[in-house]
Amino acid sequence: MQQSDSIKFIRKFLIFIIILFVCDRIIGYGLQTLYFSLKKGQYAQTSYAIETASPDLVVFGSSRALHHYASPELAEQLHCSVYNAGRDGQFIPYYCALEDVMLNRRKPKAIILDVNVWELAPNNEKYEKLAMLLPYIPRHPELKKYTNEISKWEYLKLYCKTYPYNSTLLVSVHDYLFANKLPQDENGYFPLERTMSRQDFESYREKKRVYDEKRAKQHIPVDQKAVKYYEYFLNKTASLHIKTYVIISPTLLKEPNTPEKQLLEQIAKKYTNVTFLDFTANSDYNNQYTKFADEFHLNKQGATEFSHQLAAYLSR
Amino acid sequence: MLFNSVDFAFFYITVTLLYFLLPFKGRWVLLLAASCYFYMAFVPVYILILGFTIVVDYFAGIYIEKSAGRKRKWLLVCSLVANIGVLAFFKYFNFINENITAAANSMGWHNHIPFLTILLPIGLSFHTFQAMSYTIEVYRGNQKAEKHFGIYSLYVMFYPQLVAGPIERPQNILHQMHVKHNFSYANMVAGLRQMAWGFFKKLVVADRLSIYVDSVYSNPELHNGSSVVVSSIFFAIQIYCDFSGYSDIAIGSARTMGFELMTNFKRPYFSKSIPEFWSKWHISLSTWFRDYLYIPLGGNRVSQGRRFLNLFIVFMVSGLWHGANYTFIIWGALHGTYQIAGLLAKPYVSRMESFLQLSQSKFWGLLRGLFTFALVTFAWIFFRANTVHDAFTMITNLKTIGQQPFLGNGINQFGHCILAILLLFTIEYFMEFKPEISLFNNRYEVVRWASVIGLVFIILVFGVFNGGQFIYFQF
Repeated sequence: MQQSDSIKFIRKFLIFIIILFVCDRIIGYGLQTLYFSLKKGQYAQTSYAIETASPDLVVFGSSRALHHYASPELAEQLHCSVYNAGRDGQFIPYYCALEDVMLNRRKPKAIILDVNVWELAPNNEKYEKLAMLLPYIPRHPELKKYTNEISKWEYLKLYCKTYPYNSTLLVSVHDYLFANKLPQDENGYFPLERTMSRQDFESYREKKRVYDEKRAKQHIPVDQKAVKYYEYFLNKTASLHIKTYVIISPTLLKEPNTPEKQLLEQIAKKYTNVTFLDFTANSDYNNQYTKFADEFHLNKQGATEFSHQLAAYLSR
Repeated sequence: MLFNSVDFAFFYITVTLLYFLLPFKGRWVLLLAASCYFYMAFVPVYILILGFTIVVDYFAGIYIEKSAGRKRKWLLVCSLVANIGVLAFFKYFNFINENITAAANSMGWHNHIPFLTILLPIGLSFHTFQAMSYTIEVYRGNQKAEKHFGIYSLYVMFYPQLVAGPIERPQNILHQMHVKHNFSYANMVAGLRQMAWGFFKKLVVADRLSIYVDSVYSNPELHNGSSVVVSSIFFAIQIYCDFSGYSDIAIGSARTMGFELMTNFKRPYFSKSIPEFWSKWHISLSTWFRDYLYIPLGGNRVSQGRRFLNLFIVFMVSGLWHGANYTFIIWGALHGTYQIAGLLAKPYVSRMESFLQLSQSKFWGLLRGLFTFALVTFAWIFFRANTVHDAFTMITNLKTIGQQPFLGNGINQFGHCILAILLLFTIEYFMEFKPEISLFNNRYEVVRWASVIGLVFIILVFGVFNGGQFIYFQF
């Protein structure tokens, strides 16, 4: 009984594995085709940044970079090509990965690195989110060192062809079906059209006050790995003699001078090719809720104004 | 070692394969060694704590069986003190010390007792309760003392249920460790299927919802009432899928080796009352409290007032079992209050149901189900909040319930959450109400295969693979 049961199990298990293998290839191929066929949306923008973009000025950063640096305005005033490679919810390790790929293709004249005040705060999310690089591994094996940060078994998981497209299906289907309704990016830049209401601003100001008070009482250690990535990014631009601007773009409310924020500035100032610009206490934006789409992002009006202001500074 | 890790996949395959390849005499050694390795993957040195309670309870069991009268009772007390002492020291020392400090400060005194700066041993409450159930059952004469030290150690340390249950009883599991389990196709397939279902719950539902829940609960002051409602409903589903998913993987992996662990969850969110919810939620713990606390306190065979007090005590202790924080105590107190209110209201509700002929009404059943879910979800706010202050901040924020809820990363986050919940409840609905058209146990083999393969790809496409540990590990 035991032997016949085990033979039956092994036989069926092998069939099961073969079916899984075949389905994995088919589904993986389908997801890959869908993913790389997208013409609009964030995936399409990331694919363009990784595979094609080779501008004179490139902007790296998170969603704040994505929505704050109006590439057309910057390009017009600076008389050069500009690409905004910002990506929602990303942190310094992602900017380094993108920097590696883009700089291998072409050396830009200048780089803007938009950092958040909490860029160096401990947060595992910044490494987990590198999973969005997985679809590009077959074409850019140099990204493996970044995706290995997700887990030590990442190389093994990549034998599965469906896995790199994990959690992409809903957005891919959405961006594919509603491509006509999606806004077209402007050299990577996605303007936010909405404007924050006074009520939302007042409510946020109160919540932020409570949050800052709470945070001031906590001792939050710096993420040393993130510091290393930050230095890696700047070392690379220094070794290639690329003029680099590390910028904390405008915030709705003045940000407290946290140790992480101070460290960002201290490190940047070590490099002669780097200029550090902090707009978090800029009265043109602080409390100016009509220039913001939400608590964290400038709207189109604010971003255009900021880009003009920045371009004027850069062109000096 | 986490169930949702590649390390566990290698571990599980190796141990299960060796289990069937080894002669019967060597199997307990393999399982014990594997369980030690499994436990030591977290904090190796904590195995010494387990070792201490195992030695104490092993000898306590033997001597309790041999003794009579007061000596027997004293031996039981010694065993319980050792177990509860370890639990109290590691889990409640800082909590008690904090309270002493607060009380001392309010009187202008200083408390010089230092705080412990060590991590809580993983799953401490689970294996302590399992160990206690052994000595109590031996004392009561329901279980013979286990003479084989290795087998007894395995009873406490059996890796599938070591760190998050089900909290087993010796009558159910100990005898299974003396029996040779031959390889069974049926057990293997049923076990693997249950594990796959557990992984679906954990990776597709729990870990997906946790992204949203964590972002709201970590900064409650930044979120409006709608976000509080959404995140609390999500948390109710998250904790169910996290914990019952763990139980499914535990029960399934044990079953592939021929062991039958007790059922821990029976789709509790389809319950129509709080008592029904508790008969389907964390069954191994609620029956533990029933058998070893509620009944010894007098159970139902006392005056109504005393019965209410007993119920309240049990739920308060249950809250405390979950963690040394007032949030858990309030959560327990709320459930105790629900139980008492339910008992008081029961005659009136029954009368109304028979007067309006509601007992057969599906709509009334749905309303009762939703009301029960709302009560349970409200209590979860205290369970999930980091502090009592945070919980009250969230409840206060409910006044802004009309505003748009936080949507995270839009479709990528919220869309996945909704999809995961729909998938879960659709499948569970059929499991609960239409078992005849169950997908995984369908009479047609092709449907069964398609269901399992479909489940694997749902996990691959929609699962969260960098999710954290199971919530109940911390208890």
